[in-house]
Amino acid sequence: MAVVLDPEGEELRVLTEFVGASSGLHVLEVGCGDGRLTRRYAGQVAHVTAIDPDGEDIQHAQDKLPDELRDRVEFQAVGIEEYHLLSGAPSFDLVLLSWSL
Amino acid sequence: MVHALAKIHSLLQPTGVLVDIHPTPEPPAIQVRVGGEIHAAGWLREADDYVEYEEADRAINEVIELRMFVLERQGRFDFTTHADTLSDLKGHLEAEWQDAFIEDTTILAIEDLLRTRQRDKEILLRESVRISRLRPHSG
Repeated sequence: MAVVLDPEGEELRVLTEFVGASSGLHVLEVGCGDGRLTRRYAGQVAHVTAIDPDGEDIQHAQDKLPDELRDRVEFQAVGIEEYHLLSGAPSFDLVLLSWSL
Repeated sequence: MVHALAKIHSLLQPTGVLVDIHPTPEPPAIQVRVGGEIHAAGWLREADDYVEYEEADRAINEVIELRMFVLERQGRFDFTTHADTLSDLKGHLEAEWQDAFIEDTTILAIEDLLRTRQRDKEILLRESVRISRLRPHSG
């Protein structure tokens, strides 16, 4: 492959170290883009709601999501403001800001 | 940014945590690996000189000062992009990082370092990334 991002897996290694035990976590990922990071960690948590205001990126994220993760990852093409209005109640164990602040 | 963090605060359970990952304001280093040796070639530049990353740092500090969140842990790691050729790296930047550019002197240095018969070689773009773990303030 001509370009490879973080083949060393440093990002996932450090994220796992910072989150700790994660198997039962309900995660909100803000600014997921094309789901590059989502695909790396989703298998370790209970459920991911991954949002990004860019509808094209969300479409790519959905297309690239492996079948085995489809029951635990939900992508939505919304920003944090709109998502907050739609959901409201505090329900997440972990909010992940992935290169989006 | 502080406004967005306030929204996030209200979506977290009281026992939940926020993990923020964003690059540090330092320009990413561009290196060339030839066999087992890594050579410095220069830096990646951005049109706005990483202002948004400094703003992200300030926003994190502000929500801590506002007692919205408590910083539990902070660290850094290297996020490395590997490119086989200069053309590959430029193509990647054009697609994913439109306001970034490589200065001519750095391009010349990369080309010079890649001009070797050694086949095992690649370009490395090394970003310094900050990760922070915060929890909602209980008081």
